[in-house]
Amino acid sequence: MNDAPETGPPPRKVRSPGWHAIVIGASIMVVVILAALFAPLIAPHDPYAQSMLARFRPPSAEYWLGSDRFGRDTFSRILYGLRITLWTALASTVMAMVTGTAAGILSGYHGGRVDRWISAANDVLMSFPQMVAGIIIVALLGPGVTNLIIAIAITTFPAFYRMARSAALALRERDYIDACRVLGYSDLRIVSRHILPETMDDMIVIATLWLATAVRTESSLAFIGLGAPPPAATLGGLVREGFDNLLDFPGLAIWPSLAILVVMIGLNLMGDGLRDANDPRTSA
Amino acid sequence: MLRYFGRRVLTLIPTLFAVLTLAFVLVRIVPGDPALIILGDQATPEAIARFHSETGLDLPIWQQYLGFLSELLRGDLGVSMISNRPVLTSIMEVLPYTLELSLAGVAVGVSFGVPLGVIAARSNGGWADWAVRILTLGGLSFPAFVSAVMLLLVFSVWLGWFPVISTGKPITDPVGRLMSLALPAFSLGLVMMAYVARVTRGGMMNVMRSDFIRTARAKGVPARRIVWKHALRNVLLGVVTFTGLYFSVLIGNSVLTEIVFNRPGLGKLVVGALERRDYTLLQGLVVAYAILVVLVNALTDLCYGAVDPRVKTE
Repeated sequence: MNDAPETGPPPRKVRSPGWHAIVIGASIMVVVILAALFAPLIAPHDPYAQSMLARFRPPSAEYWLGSDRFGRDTFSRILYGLRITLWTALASTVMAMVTGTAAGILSGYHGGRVDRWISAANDVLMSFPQMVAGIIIVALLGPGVTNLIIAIAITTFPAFYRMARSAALALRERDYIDACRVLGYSDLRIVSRHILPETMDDMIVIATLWLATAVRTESSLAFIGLGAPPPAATLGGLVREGFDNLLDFPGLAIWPSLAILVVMIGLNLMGDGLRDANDPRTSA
Repeated sequence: MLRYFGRRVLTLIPTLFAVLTLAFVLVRIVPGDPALIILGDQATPEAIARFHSETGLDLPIWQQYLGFLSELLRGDLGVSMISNRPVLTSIMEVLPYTLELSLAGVAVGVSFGVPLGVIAARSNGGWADWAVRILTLGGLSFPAFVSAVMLLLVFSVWLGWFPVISTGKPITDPVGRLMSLALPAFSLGLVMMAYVARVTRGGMMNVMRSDFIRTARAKGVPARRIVWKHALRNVLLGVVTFTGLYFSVLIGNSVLTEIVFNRPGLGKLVVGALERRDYTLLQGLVVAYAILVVLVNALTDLCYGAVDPRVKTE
Protein backbone atom coordinates (compact mmCIF):
# COMPACT_ATOMS: atom_id res chain seq x y z
CA MET A 1 0.00 0.00 0.00
CA ASN A 2 2.39 2.65 -1.16
CA ASP A 3 0.42 4.85 -3.51
CA ALA A 4 1.92 8.19 -2.48
CA PRO A 5 4.53 9.53 -4.88
CA GLU A 6 8.02 9.94 -3.47
CA THR A 7 8.44 13.45 -4.80
CA GLY A 8 6.19 16.30 -5.91
CA PRO A 9 4.11 18.82 -4.00
CA PRO A 10 3.01 17.83 -0.48
CA PRO A 11 -0.45 16.22 -0.55
CA ARG A 12 -3.41 18.41 0.27
CA LYS A 13 -4.52 17.96 3.85
CA VAL A 14 -7.58 15.73 3.88
CA ARG A 15 -9.81 14.91 6.75
CA SER A 16 -9.25 11.37 7.87
CA PRO A 17 -11.87 8.81 6.87
CA GLY A 18 -14.48 8.23 9.51
CA TRP A 19 -14.41 11.90 10.47
CA HIS A 20 -18.15 12.39 9.99
CA ALA A 21 -19.00 9.25 11.94
CA ILE A 22 -16.82 10.35 14.86
CA VAL A 23 -18.40 13.81 14.98
CA ILE A 24 -21.98 12.55 14.81
CA GLY A 25 -21.33 9.68 17.23
CA ALA A 26 -19.50 11.92 19.69
CA SER A 27 -22.27 14.55 19.55
CA ILE A 28 -24.87 11.92 20.37
CA MET A 29 -22.76 10.63 23.22
CA VAL A 30 -22.12 14.11 24.63
CA VAL A 31 -25.86 14.71 24.84
CA VAL A 32 -26.47 11.28 26.38
CA ILE A 33 -23.66 11.68 28.92
CA LEU A 34 -24.83 15.17 29.91
CA ALA A 35 -28.37 13.88 30.31
CA ALA A 36 -27.11 11.11 32.58
CA LEU A 37 -24.80 13.37 34.58
CA PHE A 38 -27.43 16.01 35.20
CA ALA A 39 -30.30 13.55 35.61
CA PRO A 40 -31.15 14.88 39.10
CA LEU A 41 -31.54 18.39 37.64
CA ILE A 42 -33.35 17.40 34.44
CA ALA A 43 -35.70 14.71 35.73
CA PRO A 44 -39.14 16.21 36.33
CA HIS A 45 -39.96 13.58 38.97
CA ASP A 46 -38.26 11.41 41.55
CA PRO A 47 -37.60 8.17 39.60
CA TYR A 48 -38.51 6.07 42.63
CA ALA A 49 -41.56 8.00 43.83
CA GLN A 50 -44.63 5.81 43.54
CA SER A 51 -48.15 7.12 43.17
CA MET A 52 -51.14 4.83 43.09
CA LEU A 53 -53.19 7.68 41.63
CA ALA A 54 -50.90 8.11 38.63
CA ARG A 55 -50.57 4.53 37.38
CA PHE A 56 -50.19 3.93 33.62
CA ARG A 57 -50.62 7.60 32.67
CA PRO A 58 -50.28 8.38 28.97
CA PRO A 59 -47.62 10.93 27.94
CA SER A 60 -48.63 14.41 29.12
CA ALA A 61 -47.15 17.74 30.22
CA GLU A 62 -46.64 16.28 33.67
CA TYR A 63 -45.45 12.80 32.67
CA TRP A 64 -43.55 13.41 29.41
CA LEU A 65 -43.33 9.74 28.49
CA GLY A 66 -46.13 8.48 30.70
CA SER A 67 -45.89 6.54 33.97
CA ASP A 68 -45.52 2.86 34.88
CA ARG A 69 -47.63 0.51 36.95
CA PHE A 70 -46.41 2.08 40.19
CA GLY A 71 -47.07 5.59 38.90
CA ARG A 72 -43.34 6.29 38.47
CA ASP A 73 -42.33 8.74 35.74
CA THR A 74 -40.89 6.87 32.73
CA PHE A 75 -38.77 9.77 31.47
CA SER A 76 -37.09 10.23 34.86
CA ARG A 77 -36.47 6.51 35.13
CA ILE A 78 -34.87 6.43 31.69
CA LEU A 79 -32.52 9.27 32.69
CA TYR A 80 -31.47 7.40 35.83
CA GLY A 81 -31.24 4.15 33.88
CA LEU A 82 -28.76 5.83 31.53
CA ARG A 83 -26.47 6.49 34.48
CA ILE A 84 -26.28 2.82 35.45
CA THR A 85 -25.90 1.68 31.84
CA LEU A 86 -23.12 4.16 30.99
CA TRP A 87 -21.23 3.63 34.23
CA THR A 88 -21.42 -0.16 33.99
CA ALA A 89 -20.34 -0.15 30.35
CA LEU A 90 -17.45 2.26 30.93
CA ALA A 91 -16.16 0.61 34.09
CA SER A 92 -16.36 -2.94 32.71
CA THR A 93 -14.71 -1.99 29.41
CA VAL A 94 -11.87 -0.15 31.16
CA MET A 95 -11.42 -3.10 33.51
CA ALA A 96 -11.32 -5.55 30.59
CA MET A 97 -8.98 -3.27 28.63
CA VAL A 98 -6.49 -2.91 31.49
CA THR A 99 -6.44 -6.59 32.49
CA GLY A 100 -6.71 -7.91 28.92
CA THR A 101 -3.91 -5.67 27.64
CA ALA A 102 -1.65 -6.48 30.58
CA ALA A 103 -2.23 -10.23 30.27
CA GLY A 104 -1.93 -10.11 26.48
CA ILE A 105 1.37 -8.24 26.50
CA LEU A 106 2.73 -10.48 29.25
CA SER A 107 1.68 -13.53 27.23
CA GLY A 108 3.00 -12.32 23.89
CA TYR A 109 6.22 -10.74 25.15
CA HIS A 110 7.16 -13.41 27.66
CA GLY A 111 6.03 -16.44 25.65
CA GLY A 112 6.73 -19.95 26.92
CA ARG A 113 4.89 -21.40 29.86
CA VAL A 114 3.26 -18.15 30.95
CA ASP A 115 1.79 -17.72 27.48
CA ARG A 116 0.54 -21.29 27.39
CA TRP A 117 -1.26 -21.04 30.72
CA ILE A 118 -2.89 -17.67 30.13
CA SER A 119 -3.90 -18.69 26.61
CA ALA A 120 -5.41 -21.91 27.94
CA ALA A 121 -7.45 -19.99 30.50
CA ASN A 122 -8.59 -17.64 27.75
CA ASP A 123 -9.61 -20.61 25.58
CA VAL A 124 -11.76 -21.92 28.40
CA LEU A 125 -13.42 -18.52 28.76
CA MET A 126 -14.08 -18.49 25.03
CA SER A 127 -15.74 -21.91 25.14
CA PHE A 128 -18.91 -20.21 26.32
CA PRO A 129 -21.17 -17.88 24.42
CA GLN A 130 -20.54 -14.41 25.85
CA MET A 131 -24.12 -13.94 26.98
CA VAL A 132 -24.25 -17.32 28.71
CA ALA A 133 -20.95 -16.66 30.49
CA GLY A 134 -22.30 -13.28 31.61
CA ILE A 135 -25.52 -14.80 32.91
CA ILE A 136 -23.75 -17.53 34.86
CA ILE A 137 -21.08 -15.24 36.35
CA VAL A 138 -23.62 -12.63 37.49
CA ALA A 139 -25.80 -15.34 38.97
CA LEU A 140 -22.87 -16.84 40.87
CA LEU A 141 -21.52 -13.49 42.10
CA GLY A 142 -24.94 -12.31 43.19
CA PRO A 143 -26.81 -9.11 42.37
CA GLY A 144 -25.19 -5.66 42.48
CA VAL A 145 -23.64 -3.14 40.12
CA THR A 146 -20.04 -4.04 41.04
CA ASN A 147 -20.63 -7.73 40.35
CA LEU A 148 -22.30 -6.79 37.08
CA ILE A 149 -19.22 -4.78 36.08
CA ILE A 150 -16.91 -7.68 36.97
CA ALA A 151 -19.04 -10.17 35.02
CA ILE A 152 -19.13 -8.03 31.87
CA ALA A 153 -15.40 -7.34 32.16
CA ILE A 154 -14.65 -11.07 32.35
CA THR A 155 -16.70 -11.79 29.22
CA THR A 156 -14.99 -8.92 27.35
CA PHE A 157 -11.46 -9.87 28.47
CA PRO A 158 -10.68 -12.22 25.52
CA ALA A 159 -11.16 -9.47 22.92
CA PHE A 160 -8.41 -7.32 24.47
CA TYR A 161 -6.23 -10.24 25.44
CA ARG A 162 -6.02 -11.66 21.93
CA MET A 163 -5.37 -8.29 20.33
CA ALA A 164 -2.64 -7.30 22.81
CA ARG A 165 -1.03 -10.73 22.64
CA SER A 166 -0.72 -10.75 18.86
CA ALA A 167 0.56 -7.17 18.88
CA ALA A 168 3.20 -8.02 21.50
CA LEU A 169 4.19 -11.18 19.59
CA ALA A 170 4.80 -9.15 16.45
CA LEU A 171 6.60 -6.29 18.22
CA ARG A 172 8.88 -8.65 20.13
CA GLU A 173 10.64 -9.62 16.90
CA ARG A 174 11.27 -6.03 15.80
CA ASP A 175 14.85 -4.73 15.60
CA TYR A 176 14.34 -1.80 17.92
CA ILE A 177 13.16 -4.11 20.69
CA ASP A 178 16.29 -6.20 20.12
CA ALA A 179 18.28 -2.99 20.37
CA CYS A 180 16.63 -2.22 23.70
CA ARG A 181 17.62 -5.65 24.98
CA VAL A 182 21.20 -5.20 23.84
CA LEU A 183 21.26 -1.87 25.65
CA GLY A 184 20.37 -3.78 28.77
CA TYR A 185 16.92 -2.27 29.37
CA SER A 186 14.80 -4.19 31.82
CA ASP A 187 11.77 -6.10 30.55
CA LEU A 188 9.53 -3.75 32.51
CA ARG A 189 11.03 -0.72 30.77
CA ILE A 190 10.80 -2.33 27.31
CA VAL A 191 7.18 -3.32 27.86
CA SER A 192 5.99 -0.09 29.45
CA ARG A 193 7.93 2.39 27.29
CA HIS A 194 8.24 0.65 23.94
CA ILE A 195 5.56 -2.01 23.53
CA LEU A 196 2.55 -0.67 25.46
CA PRO A 197 2.44 2.72 23.68
CA GLU A 198 2.57 0.97 20.30
CA THR A 199 -0.55 -1.06 21.10
CA MET A 200 -2.58 1.72 22.70
CA ASP A 201 -4.13 3.10 19.48
CA ASP A 202 -5.60 -0.29 18.61
CA MET A 203 -6.73 -0.94 22.15
CA ILE A 204 -8.62 2.34 22.38
CA VAL A 205 -10.36 1.68 19.07
CA ILE A 206 -11.43 -1.78 20.23
CA ALA A 207 -12.50 -0.35 23.57
CA THR A 208 -14.86 2.07 21.83
CA LEU A 209 -16.37 -0.75 19.79
CA TRP A 210 -16.66 -2.95 22.86
CA LEU A 211 -18.36 -0.19 24.85
CA ALA A 212 -21.37 -0.79 22.62
CA THR A 213 -21.17 -4.52 23.33
CA ALA A 214 -20.97 -3.79 27.06
CA VAL A 215 -24.14 -1.67 26.81
CA ARG A 216 -25.78 -4.55 24.95
CA THR A 217 -24.72 -7.08 27.59
CA GLU A 218 -25.71 -4.89 30.53
CA SER A 219 -29.15 -4.12 29.16
CA SER A 220 -29.67 -7.77 28.17
CA LEU A 221 -28.78 -8.98 31.66
CA ALA A 222 -31.09 -6.36 33.14
CA PHE A 223 -33.84 -7.56 30.81
CA ILE A 224 -33.41 -11.13 32.08
CA GLY A 225 -33.59 -9.79 35.64
CA LEU A 226 -29.88 -10.02 36.46
CA GLY A 227 -29.09 -6.30 36.26
CA ALA A 228 -28.72 -3.75 39.03
CA PRO A 229 -31.21 -4.85 41.71
CA PRO A 230 -34.52 -2.98 42.13
CA PRO A 231 -35.67 -0.36 42.82
CA ALA A 232 -32.82 0.98 40.64
CA ALA A 233 -34.04 1.90 37.18
CA THR A 234 -32.11 0.19 34.38
CA LEU A 235 -32.86 0.53 30.68
CA GLY A 236 -33.06 -3.25 30.17
CA GLY A 237 -35.21 -3.58 33.27
CA LEU A 238 -37.55 -0.84 32.01
CA VAL A 239 -37.98 -2.68 28.70
CA ARG A 240 -38.78 -5.82 30.67
CA GLU A 241 -41.40 -4.04 32.76
CA GLY A 242 -42.85 -2.61 29.56
CA PHE A 243 -42.75 -6.02 27.91
CA ASP A 244 -44.85 -7.47 30.70
CA ASN A 245 -47.54 -4.87 29.86
CA LEU A 246 -46.90 -4.88 26.11
CA LEU A 247 -50.47 -5.41 24.96
CA ASP A 248 -51.97 -2.57 27.00
CA PHE A 249 -49.16 -0.04 27.36
CA PRO A 250 -46.60 -0.55 24.57
CA GLY A 251 -45.04 2.86 25.24
CA LEU A 252 -43.47 1.55 28.43
CA ALA A 253 -41.33 -0.82 26.32
CA ILE A 254 -40.81 1.51 23.36
CA TRP A 255 -39.27 4.54 25.10
CA PRO A 256 -36.47 2.75 26.99
CA SER A 257 -35.80 0.67 23.85
CA LEU A 258 -35.28 3.88 21.91
CA ALA A 259 -32.93 5.15 24.62
CA ILE A 260 -30.83 1.98 24.31
CA LEU A 261 -30.81 2.36 20.52
CA VAL A 262 -29.61 5.97 20.70
CA VAL A 263 -26.72 5.00 23.01
CA MET A 264 -25.80 2.03 20.80
CA ILE A 265 -25.90 4.10 17.61
CA GLY A 266 -23.77 6.82 19.16
CA LEU A 267 -21.14 4.34 20.40
CA ASN A 268 -21.13 2.33 17.16
CA LEU A 269 -20.70 5.48 15.07
CA MET A 270 -17.78 6.60 17.22
CA GLY A 271 -16.19 3.15 17.18
CA ASP A 272 -16.57 2.76 13.41
CA GLY A 273 -15.21 6.23 12.79
CA LEU A 274 -12.20 5.73 15.04
CA ARG A 275 -11.46 2.40 13.40
CA ASP A 276 -11.63 3.88 9.91
CA ALA A 277 -9.42 6.78 10.96
CA ASN A 278 -6.93 4.39 12.56
CA ASP A 279 -6.85 1.95 9.65
CA PRO A 280 -7.99 3.61 6.41
CA ARG A 281 -7.88 0.31 4.50
CA THR A 282 -11.08 -0.92 6.10
CA SER A 283 -13.13 1.94 4.70
CA ALA A 284 -13.88 2.82 1.11
CA MET B 1 -9.36 -33.89 5.37
CA LEU B 2 -10.69 -36.27 8.01
CA ARG B 3 -7.23 -36.56 9.50
CA TYR B 4 -7.00 -32.80 9.63
CA PHE B 5 -10.37 -32.68 11.34
CA GLY B 6 -9.37 -35.43 13.75
CA ARG B 7 -6.18 -33.60 14.72
CA ARG B 8 -8.15 -30.43 15.26
CA VAL B 9 -10.53 -32.21 17.61
CA LEU B 10 -7.62 -33.75 19.53
CA THR B 11 -6.14 -30.31 20.24
CA LEU B 12 -9.49 -29.31 21.75
CA ILE B 13 -9.45 -32.05 24.38
CA PRO B 14 -7.38 -30.14 26.99
CA THR B 15 -9.70 -27.13 26.68
CA LEU B 16 -12.75 -29.33 27.00
CA PHE B 17 -11.25 -31.04 30.03
CA ALA B 18 -10.63 -27.67 31.66
CA VAL B 19 -14.21 -26.65 30.93
CA LEU B 20 -15.55 -29.81 32.55
CA THR B 21 -13.43 -29.14 35.63
CA LEU B 22 -14.68 -25.57 35.70
CA ALA B 23 -18.29 -26.76 35.50
CA PHE B 24 -17.63 -29.07 38.45
CA VAL B 25 -15.93 -26.36 40.51
CA LEU B 26 -18.48 -23.61 39.70
CA VAL B 27 -21.34 -25.60 41.09
CA ARG B 28 -19.42 -26.31 44.28
CA ILE B 29 -18.18 -22.81 45.05
CA VAL B 30 -21.66 -21.38 44.95
CA PRO B 31 -22.53 -20.15 48.43
CA GLY B 32 -25.19 -22.12 50.26
CA ASP B 33 -25.74 -25.82 50.88
CA PRO B 34 -27.93 -27.30 48.12
CA ALA B 35 -29.61 -29.42 50.78
CA LEU B 36 -30.90 -26.31 52.57
CA ILE B 37 -32.09 -24.83 49.29
CA ILE B 38 -34.05 -27.93 48.38
CA LEU B 39 -35.24 -29.11 51.78
CA GLY B 40 -35.78 -25.61 53.20
CA ASP B 41 -34.31 -23.84 56.23
CA GLN B 42 -36.32 -25.95 58.66
CA ALA B 43 -34.80 -29.26 57.51
CA THR B 44 -33.63 -31.59 60.27
CA PRO B 45 -29.94 -32.58 60.43
CA GLU B 46 -30.95 -36.16 59.62
CA ALA B 47 -32.75 -35.08 56.46
CA ILE B 48 -29.75 -33.02 55.40
CA ALA B 49 -27.41 -35.94 56.02
CA ARG B 50 -29.69 -38.24 54.03
CA PHE B 51 -29.75 -35.74 51.16
CA HIS B 52 -25.96 -35.50 51.22
CA SER B 53 -25.48 -39.24 51.07
CA GLU B 54 -28.11 -39.66 48.36
CA THR B 55 -26.50 -37.05 46.12
CA GLY B 56 -22.95 -38.10 46.96
CA LEU B 57 -22.16 -34.72 48.50
CA ASP B 58 -20.72 -36.39 51.64
CA LEU B 59 -17.87 -37.99 49.68
CA PRO B 60 -14.41 -36.36 49.54
CA ILE B 61 -14.19 -33.77 46.78
CA TRP B 62 -11.77 -35.82 44.64
CA GLN B 63 -14.13 -38.81 44.71
CA GLN B 64 -16.99 -36.56 43.64
CA TYR B 65 -14.82 -35.23 40.81
CA LEU B 66 -13.83 -38.72 39.59
CA GLY B 67 -17.45 -39.81 39.80
CA PHE B 68 -18.53 -36.76 37.80
CA LEU B 69 -15.94 -37.46 35.08
CA SER B 70 -16.66 -41.19 34.83
CA GLU B 71 -20.41 -40.58 34.61
CA LEU B 72 -19.78 -37.95 31.97
CA LEU B 73 -17.72 -40.37 29.88
CA ARG B 74 -20.69 -42.72 29.91
CA GLY B 75 -22.87 -39.86 28.69
CA ASP B 76 -24.54 -39.34 32.05
CA LEU B 77 -24.97 -35.78 33.28
CA GLY B 78 -26.69 -36.79 36.51
CA VAL B 79 -30.22 -35.97 37.63
CA SER B 80 -31.74 -32.59 38.38
CA MET B 81 -31.67 -31.64 42.05
CA ILE B 82 -35.15 -30.19 41.84
CA SER B 83 -37.16 -32.33 39.45
CA ASN B 84 -35.13 -35.57 39.70
CA ARG B 85 -35.23 -35.84 35.89
CA PRO B 86 -32.03 -36.89 34.09
CA VAL B 87 -30.21 -33.69 33.08
CA LEU B 88 -29.33 -35.11 29.68
CA THR B 89 -33.00 -35.75 28.91
CA SER B 90 -33.94 -32.17 29.81
CA ILE B 91 -31.16 -30.82 27.61
CA MET B 92 -31.86 -33.08 24.63
CA GLU B 93 -35.54 -32.14 24.81
CA VAL B 94 -34.90 -28.45 24.21
CA LEU B 95 -31.66 -28.60 22.22
CA PRO B 96 -33.46 -28.99 18.85
CA TYR B 97 -35.37 -25.74 19.51
CA THR B 98 -32.20 -23.77 20.23
CA LEU B 99 -30.42 -25.27 17.23
CA GLU B 100 -33.42 -24.62 14.98
CA LEU B 101 -33.56 -21.00 16.11
CA SER B 102 -29.80 -20.42 15.87
CA LEU B 103 -29.53 -22.01 12.42
CA ALA B 104 -32.51 -19.97 11.24
CA GLY B 105 -30.74 -16.87 12.61
CA VAL B 106 -27.60 -17.79 10.66
CA ALA B 107 -29.73 -18.33 7.55
CA VAL B 108 -31.26 -14.86 7.92
CA GLY B 109 -27.87 -13.30 8.60
CA VAL B 110 -26.12 -14.86 5.62
CA SER B 111 -28.93 -14.76 3.07
CA PHE B 112 -29.57 -11.06 3.68
CA GLY B 113 -26.07 -10.02 4.67
CA VAL B 114 -24.14 -11.36 1.67
CA PRO B 115 -26.30 -9.73 -1.04
CA LEU B 116 -26.36 -6.46 0.92
CA GLY B 117 -22.58 -6.52 1.16
CA VAL B 118 -22.18 -7.24 -2.55
CA ILE B 119 -24.60 -4.47 -3.48
CA ALA B 120 -22.76 -2.03 -1.23
CA ALA B 121 -19.37 -2.97 -2.68
CA ARG B 122 -20.62 -2.58 -6.27
CA SER B 123 -22.13 0.79 -5.48
CA ASN B 124 -18.98 1.87 -3.52
CA GLY B 125 -19.79 5.32 -2.24
CA GLY B 126 -23.08 5.52 -4.17
CA TRP B 127 -26.51 5.77 -2.62
CA ALA B 128 -26.86 1.99 -2.27
CA ASP B 129 -23.60 1.86 -0.32
CA TRP B 130 -24.86 4.55 2.03
CA ALA B 131 -28.22 2.85 2.43
CA VAL B 132 -26.49 -0.41 3.38
CA ARG B 133 -24.20 1.49 5.75
CA ILE B 134 -27.13 3.02 7.60
CA LEU B 135 -28.92 -0.33 7.62
CA THR B 136 -25.91 -2.15 9.09
CA LEU B 137 -25.40 0.58 11.70
CA GLY B 138 -29.02 0.10 12.73
CA GLY B 139 -28.64 -3.67 12.74
CA LEU B 140 -25.55 -3.52 14.95
CA SER B 141 -27.30 -1.25 17.40
CA PHE B 142 -30.22 -3.54 18.24
CA PRO B 143 -29.68 -5.74 21.29
CA ALA B 144 -31.42 -9.07 20.67
CA PHE B 145 -34.20 -8.38 23.16
CA VAL B 146 -34.94 -4.89 21.81
CA SER B 147 -35.35 -6.13 18.24
CA ALA B 148 -37.40 -9.06 19.53
CA VAL B 149 -39.76 -6.84 21.53
CA MET B 150 -40.12 -4.36 18.65
CA LEU B 151 -40.77 -7.05 16.02
CA LEU B 152 -43.28 -8.75 18.29
CA LEU B 153 -45.05 -5.46 18.92
CA VAL B 154 -45.24 -4.38 15.28
CA PHE B 155 -45.78 -7.63 13.38
CA SER B 156 -47.66 -9.75 15.91
CA VAL B 157 -49.55 -7.33 18.13
CA TRP B 158 -50.28 -4.41 15.80
CA LEU B 159 -50.33 -6.00 12.34
CA GLY B 160 -51.24 -9.53 13.43
CA TRP B 161 -49.20 -11.12 10.64
CA PHE B 162 -47.39 -13.59 12.90
CA PRO B 163 -48.47 -15.57 15.98
CA VAL B 164 -47.61 -13.95 19.33
CA ILE B 165 -46.65 -17.26 20.92
CA SER B 166 -44.19 -19.03 18.68
CA THR B 167 -44.25 -22.58 20.00
CA GLY B 168 -46.47 -25.62 19.87
CA LYS B 169 -46.51 -26.01 16.11
CA PRO B 170 -45.71 -29.64 15.21
CA ILE B 171 -43.32 -30.51 12.41
CA THR B 172 -46.34 -31.74 10.41
CA ASP B 173 -47.48 -28.13 10.07
CA PRO B 174 -44.45 -26.71 8.24
CA VAL B 175 -46.11 -23.42 7.28
CA GLY B 176 -47.26 -22.73 10.83
CA ARG B 177 -43.87 -23.70 12.19
CA LEU B 178 -42.07 -21.48 9.71
CA MET B 179 -44.40 -18.58 10.50
CA SER B 180 -43.72 -18.96 14.22
CA LEU B 181 -39.98 -19.19 13.56
CA ALA B 182 -39.81 -16.17 11.24
CA LEU B 183 -39.86 -13.34 13.79
CA PRO B 184 -37.50 -14.95 16.33
CA ALA B 185 -35.05 -15.88 13.56
CA PHE B 186 -35.14 -12.41 12.05
CA SER B 187 -34.65 -10.72 15.41
CA LEU B 188 -31.74 -13.03 16.23
CA GLY B 189 -30.17 -12.75 12.76
CA LEU B 190 -30.37 -8.96 12.54
CA VAL B 191 -26.99 -8.22 14.15
CA MET B 192 -25.36 -11.03 12.21
CA MET B 193 -26.81 -9.68 8.97
CA ALA B 194 -25.13 -6.34 9.65
CA TYR B 195 -21.76 -7.97 10.39
CA VAL B 196 -21.96 -10.29 7.37
CA ALA B 197 -22.80 -7.35 5.10
CA ARG B 198 -19.69 -5.54 6.37
CA VAL B 199 -17.42 -8.57 6.02
CA THR B 200 -18.75 -9.20 2.50
CA ARG B 201 -18.39 -5.57 1.46
CA GLY B 202 -14.82 -5.34 2.74
CA GLY B 203 -13.88 -8.65 1.12
CA MET B 204 -15.44 -7.68 -2.21
CA MET B 205 -13.61 -4.36 -2.28
CA ASN B 206 -10.30 -6.20 -1.84
CA VAL B 207 -10.99 -9.01 -4.30
CA MET B 208 -12.28 -6.69 -7.03
CA ARG B 209 -8.86 -5.03 -7.07
CA SER B 210 -6.98 -8.29 -7.68
CA ASP B 211 -5.36 -9.38 -10.93
CA PHE B 212 -7.58 -12.33 -11.77
CA ILE B 213 -10.63 -10.08 -11.73
CA ARG B 214 -8.88 -7.69 -14.12
CA THR B 215 -8.06 -10.64 -16.37
CA ALA B 216 -11.65 -11.86 -16.29
CA ARG B 217 -12.82 -8.35 -17.21
CA ALA B 218 -10.27 -8.12 -20.00
CA LYS B 219 -11.42 -11.34 -21.62
CA GLY B 220 -15.00 -10.08 -21.55
CA VAL B 221 -16.68 -12.06 -18.77
CA PRO B 222 -19.98 -10.31 -17.97
CA ALA B 223 -19.80 -8.12 -14.86
CA ARG B 224 -22.62 -10.01 -13.16
CA ARG B 225 -20.73 -13.31 -13.56
CA ILE B 226 -17.49 -11.78 -12.30
CA VAL B 227 -19.13 -10.48 -9.16
CA TRP B 228 -21.37 -13.39 -8.22
CA LYS B 229 -19.12 -16.25 -9.30
CA HIS B 230 -15.45 -15.31 -9.37
CA ALA B 231 -15.26 -12.62 -6.73
CA LEU B 232 -17.90 -13.86 -4.30
CA ARG B 233 -16.34 -17.33 -4.05
CA ASN B 234 -13.20 -15.74 -2.68
CA VAL B 235 -15.14 -13.60 -0.25
CA LEU B 236 -17.12 -16.54 1.11
CA LEU B 237 -14.14 -17.90 3.03
CA GLY B 238 -14.23 -14.79 5.18
CA VAL B 239 -17.98 -15.15 5.59
CA VAL B 240 -17.64 -18.80 6.66
CA THR B 241 -14.96 -17.89 9.20
CA PHE B 242 -17.14 -15.14 10.55
CA THR B 243 -20.22 -17.37 10.68
CA GLY B 244 -18.31 -19.97 12.67
CA LEU B 245 -17.06 -17.36 15.12
CA TYR B 246 -20.42 -15.72 15.39
CA PHE B 247 -22.48 -18.87 15.79
CA SER B 248 -21.60 -19.11 19.47
CA VAL B 249 -22.67 -15.48 19.96
CA LEU B 250 -25.99 -16.37 18.32
CA ILE B 251 -26.44 -19.36 20.62
CA GLY B 252 -25.81 -17.00 23.55
CA ASN B 253 -28.17 -14.29 22.30
CA SER B 254 -30.87 -16.87 21.67
CA VAL B 255 -31.42 -16.83 25.45
CA LEU B 256 -33.11 -13.44 25.04
CA THR B 257 -35.03 -14.39 21.92
CA GLU B 258 -36.37 -17.46 23.70
CA ILE B 259 -37.55 -15.38 26.63
CA VAL B 260 -39.31 -12.75 24.52
CA PHE B 261 -40.99 -15.21 22.15
CA ASN B 262 -41.57 -17.70 24.94
CA ARG B 263 -39.86 -20.54 23.07
CA PRO B 264 -38.39 -23.57 24.82
CA GLY B 265 -34.60 -23.87 24.54
CA LEU B 266 -31.26 -24.02 26.31
CA GLY B 267 -31.49 -20.35 27.24
CA LYS B 268 -34.78 -20.70 29.05
CA LEU B 269 -33.42 -23.82 30.74
CA VAL B 270 -30.38 -21.88 32.03
CA VAL B 271 -32.46 -19.02 33.39
CA GLY B 272 -34.85 -21.51 34.98
CA ALA B 273 -32.00 -23.51 36.52
CA LEU B 274 -30.54 -20.33 38.02
CA GLU B 275 -33.88 -19.19 39.38
CA ARG B 276 -34.54 -22.55 41.03
CA ARG B 277 -30.88 -23.01 42.01
CA ASP B 278 -30.81 -26.37 40.26
CA TYR B 279 -27.04 -26.76 40.31
CA THR B 280 -26.80 -30.19 38.71
CA LEU B 281 -28.87 -28.97 35.78
CA LEU B 282 -26.67 -25.86 35.60
CA GLN B 283 -23.54 -28.00 35.62
CA GLY B 284 -24.92 -30.08 32.75
CA LEU B 285 -25.84 -26.96 30.80
CA VAL B 286 -22.33 -25.50 31.20
CA VAL B 287 -20.95 -28.74 29.76
CA ALA B 288 -23.53 -28.74 26.95
CA TYR B 289 -22.77 -25.15 25.91
CA ALA B 290 -19.02 -25.77 25.89
CA ILE B 291 -19.35 -28.91 23.77
CA LEU B 292 -21.64 -27.05 21.40
CA VAL B 293 -19.18 -24.18 20.93
CA VAL B 294 -16.22 -26.53 20.51
CA LEU B 295 -18.13 -28.60 17.92
CA VAL B 296 -19.15 -25.51 15.98
CA ASN B 297 -15.52 -24.32 15.88
CA ALA B 298 -14.38 -27.71 14.58
CA LEU B 299 -17.17 -27.74 11.98
CA THR B 300 -16.14 -24.27 10.83
CA ASP B 301 -12.68 -25.65 10.09
CA LEU B 302 -14.26 -28.45 8.12
CA CYS B 303 -16.21 -25.93 6.07
CA TYR B 304 -13.04 -24.13 5.01
CA GLY B 305 -12.13 -27.15 2.90
CA ALA B 306 -15.50 -27.10 1.17
CA VAL B 307 -15.28 -23.41 0.33
CA ASP B 308 -11.56 -23.13 -0.35
CA PRO B 309 -9.87 -26.23 -1.85
CA ARG B 310 -6.46 -24.74 -1.03
CA VAL B 311 -6.98 -25.50 2.67
CA LYS B 312 -6.97 -29.27 2.11
CA THR B 313 -3.47 -29.38 0.70
CA GLU B 314 -1.97 -27.54 3.62
